[in-house]
This record gives sequence, structure tokens and C-alpha cells, in this order.
Amino acid sequence: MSSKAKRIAERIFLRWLPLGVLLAFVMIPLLWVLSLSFKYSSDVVSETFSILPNPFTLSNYSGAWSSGRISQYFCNSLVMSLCAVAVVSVLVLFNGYALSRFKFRGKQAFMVIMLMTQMLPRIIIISPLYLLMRDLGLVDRFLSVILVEIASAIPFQTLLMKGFIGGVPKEIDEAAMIDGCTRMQTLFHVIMPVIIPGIVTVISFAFINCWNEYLLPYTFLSTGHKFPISVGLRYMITQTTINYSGLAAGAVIALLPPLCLFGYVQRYLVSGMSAGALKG
Amino acid sequence: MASKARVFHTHRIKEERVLPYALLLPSFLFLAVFLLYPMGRALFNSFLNYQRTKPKQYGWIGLENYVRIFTGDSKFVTALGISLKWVVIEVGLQVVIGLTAALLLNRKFRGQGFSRTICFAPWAISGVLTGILWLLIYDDNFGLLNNLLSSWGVAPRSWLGDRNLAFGSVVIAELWRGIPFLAITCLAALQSISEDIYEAAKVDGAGRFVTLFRITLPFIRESVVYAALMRCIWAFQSVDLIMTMTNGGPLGRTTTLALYIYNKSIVEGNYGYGSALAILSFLMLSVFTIIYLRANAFGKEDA
Repeated sequence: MSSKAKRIAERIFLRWLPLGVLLAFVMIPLLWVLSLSFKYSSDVVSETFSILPNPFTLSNYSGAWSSGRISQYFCNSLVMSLCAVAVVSVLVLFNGYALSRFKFRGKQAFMVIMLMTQMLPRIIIISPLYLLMRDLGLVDRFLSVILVEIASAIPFQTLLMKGFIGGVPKEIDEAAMIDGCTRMQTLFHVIMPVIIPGIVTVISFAFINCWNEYLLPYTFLSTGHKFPISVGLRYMITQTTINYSGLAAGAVIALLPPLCLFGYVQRYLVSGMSAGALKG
Repeated sequence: MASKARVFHTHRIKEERVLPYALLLPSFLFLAVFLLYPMGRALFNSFLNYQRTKPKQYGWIGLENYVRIFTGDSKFVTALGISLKWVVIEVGLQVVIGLTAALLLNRKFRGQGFSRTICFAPWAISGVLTGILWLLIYDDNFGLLNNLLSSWGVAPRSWLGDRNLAFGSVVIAELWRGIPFLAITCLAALQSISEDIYEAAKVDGAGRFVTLFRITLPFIRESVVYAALMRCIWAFQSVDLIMTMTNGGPLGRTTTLALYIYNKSIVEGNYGYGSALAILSFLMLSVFTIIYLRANAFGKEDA
């Protein structure tokens, strides 16, 4: 075999073929749900099978949004996620500032607590959490889900934020404080404007996690019209007759917010996330 | 003038001392109330006879829950076995495929950015949604897989209903969602390797495979070990995908320990027994983590 033919064969078998298999594996479920969501439900259950929707329809989306409960579920998810994210972003801004700019006793202990709670499996504390919410009278209220979402988000998002604030030279703080700024003024007027991309990243990460939360609302909430979209869709598949194209449309609607934010945070995933998560 | 400056100065010192604690306090309270306290309460509850349906029997029973787990609970042993199988197969596959994906995506080629976006996208998708996407593929009658198979003349299968197939089917779905984390972590590690090292290896006449096994893999080992550990804990505790796809069936073939804990404590309302199961799992995970980190001598320089 000539060296050129060998190089081409190598390219095909060591790069393009595995890459193609990988991309197909990832894309097929997404393309299939998209295709189903544009089919008439009568075509989904008919004898003749087609991969692409033929005829094409948007009725599943309008149906899921108006007659189904998808719009309600969607708004519930949005309210819970936004409340949790708002609190988380302020708290981790404080944490990141404290951990990257101050030397104080107990700093190491706080870092250890964060790493421990980050590793703590949710399933182990789910029943005490449920009992706690019952005792606080918060069962079947959004607040129960929001509070635990906030607590769960703190460790990872703090590490991320600490990285972003740590990237700002300390000389900038010192200059501001010599000019008479207090520490808090320095944080809000000097550091915050510099790390806006970092804050948006933290918000996006936190939002994706809250939006995808399932176990907490599934355990704490019992009234159907309070469900977030994750729990609502899960209930759709436990019914005896499943409307497949409606379910597909609901799934696509639920996929959109996290995937859109993913498009934004993606460039921070490789550099930012690993640095934040691995190096602490 | 001088005294004013001094007041200002002492104020500054006080602020420097108190402020970090004040900034961390709200977060600490959140962690303490919603993560640390429940952990303590799980331990406490594990020594109680605490059942939703039998409030009159509530009381301290010492280690009885633990004794019952080890002496009279065959479901626990089965679920533990399924969990072990689940974690080992799942994380093993994620590491191999995630690492391969990272090696492929680390090279420069046309469409690299696009390929990365596609490959990482499942990272943003929840377990429930992943479960639904794969249900629509595995469905007995209307799923993509059976329809494709029958159009090629292969008999359709019940991918989630057959007790020999269900576990593998769920593993594939979870793998779909798990590849990005490993791929992202490995890619970050690969990018930290300096080009000079590869140049030097080339000059020394090292081939493709020698470079991979002697340079690339040893360099990223620490990151891979850490990511795999995170995934083990994650895979052990994740229930949303399995709940959505099989809810533990058929015949308990996909009932992991995590799902068993959930069913015992939340569905049946046996908070005491469920907590004992949870505490046991926590101990096993901790022991595993310590052995794992020791064996890999991770964090030596940091400690």
C-alpha cells in the first residue's frame, strides 16, 4: 500500500467513521422526536411506517400548548427556575468574592463542606427532605422545590464564580479601595461589570440544572397544575393511551430552553467548567 | 483629621474581619438546613421504626432496620447487584466512548465546532427527557427501532419489556446522556498538554499508538480518574431516567439500589427502613471513594 493510500485509509477508519457513528448516535433520538412531533397522531399509529412526517403538521405544538397542560407546566418550570437562579446568582457572587479575596479562619472548612455537599447523593437525603418540607408546611408548594434547588446549586456555582473573580487582578480592587470604595462597592461597581460573561455563565448553568430538576418536584408536589414540565411529561407517559406525537411536541418544547442556553455556555464548557469543577 | 482617619482605619479592619463570614453565612445556612441536616436526620431515622402507614409503632428500635436489611431482605441484595452492574458497565462505557470522542474532537478539522456542539448537546438534557426520547425509539409498536428492524425483515423485540433486554436498553439511553461529561472533561485535559511534547515525541520517532499510550493517556489520567469517580456517584444515585423508562421493571431487572430506596422510603412511606438503606449506600460509596482515590493517589500534592 502506498503511503498516501495508507493515510487516506487511516483518516477514514480512525477519524471519519468513528466520528460519524458518534454523531449519528447522538443525533438520531433528537431527529426522531422532531420528526414525530410534526406527524399527525393518526399517522404515527398507522400500519405504514415513514421516517419523515408526511403530511407535515404543526397541530401537535398548538394542541400541546393550548389544550394540553404543557403551557402550564412550562410556566411552572420557568417560575421555579428563575426564582432559584436569582437567589443562587447573588449568593455565589458573595461566596466567590469572599473565597477569592479574603484570608480568614474557616475558609478551608467551608470549601470542604462545599465539596462534601456537592458529592452527596440526592437519593440519600430525599426522605428527610420530604419530612422537613412536611414539617415546615411547604409540601405541594413551589418554595419547597426552590429552596432545595438553591442549596444544591451553591457548591458547583460557587467554584465556578470563584474562578471568574479570581481571574480579575487584585490590583483593581486595591485601586478602587484607595479611592475610597468599601468592599461591597468594589464588588458591585468594579468587579461585577468585569465578570458579566462569568455571571451569565453561572446563571445559564444554574438555570439548566433547575429546569431539568425532576426528583424534588416529583416528591414534593402533588397537585397536577403545579408540576414543572419534567414531572408533567413523565405523567403523560404513565397514562394508558399515549398520544405519541403530542408527547414528542411536549418533549421538544421542554428541550428548547436548556438547549438554547447550552449554545451559550458551550464555549465555557471545555475551559471554564473543568477548571471550576476540577481545580476548586 | 488624624482621629477621623483612625476611625476610618479601624472600621476598615473590622470590615475585613467580619465581611467574609457575613458573605458566606446565607449560603452556609442553605447548605446546613437543606443538605447537612437531612443527612443527619437520615442517620437518626435509620434507628427508628418510622412508617407513614403505622404511626402508632413509631419509636427507637436501634439497629433493627440494619439487621433486617442483612438477614431478611433478598430484594436489597438483588438491587445492590443491579446497582453494581449498572455503575460498572455505565461508567466503563462512558469512559471509553467519552475518551474516544475527546480524542476525535481534539484534532483540527473542518466541522470541528459543529461536531463538538452536537456531541456535547445531551449534557443539557434531563434524565426524564432522555428517557422520553429513547422510549420513542424503543416503543414496541411505534418506535423507530422496531419499525426499522421489521422493514429489514428482522423480528421486532420488546426492548424495555423483555427481561433480558431491558437493562441493556436503559444502559444505552443513559450512555447517550453521559458521554458529554466525560468527553468535555477529557477534552479539557487534552488541551492542557503542550504541543512541544508531541513535537519532541515526533522527533524521537514515536508512532501514533506509542504517543497515545505513553504520552497522552498518562497526562490526562488524573482528570479521567476524577471524572469517572464523579460519574460513579452520579450513576449510582440517578433514578429519573430509569423511573421514566421502566420504573424498575420488568420483574425488577432494572431496580437499582437508588430506585429501591426511593420506593421504600417515599412510595411506601417507610422512612426508617428507607433511611437505613440510604445510610448503608452512603457508607459503601464513601468507602469506595476513599479506596478509589487512594489507589489512584489522587490529590497527593494538594493535601
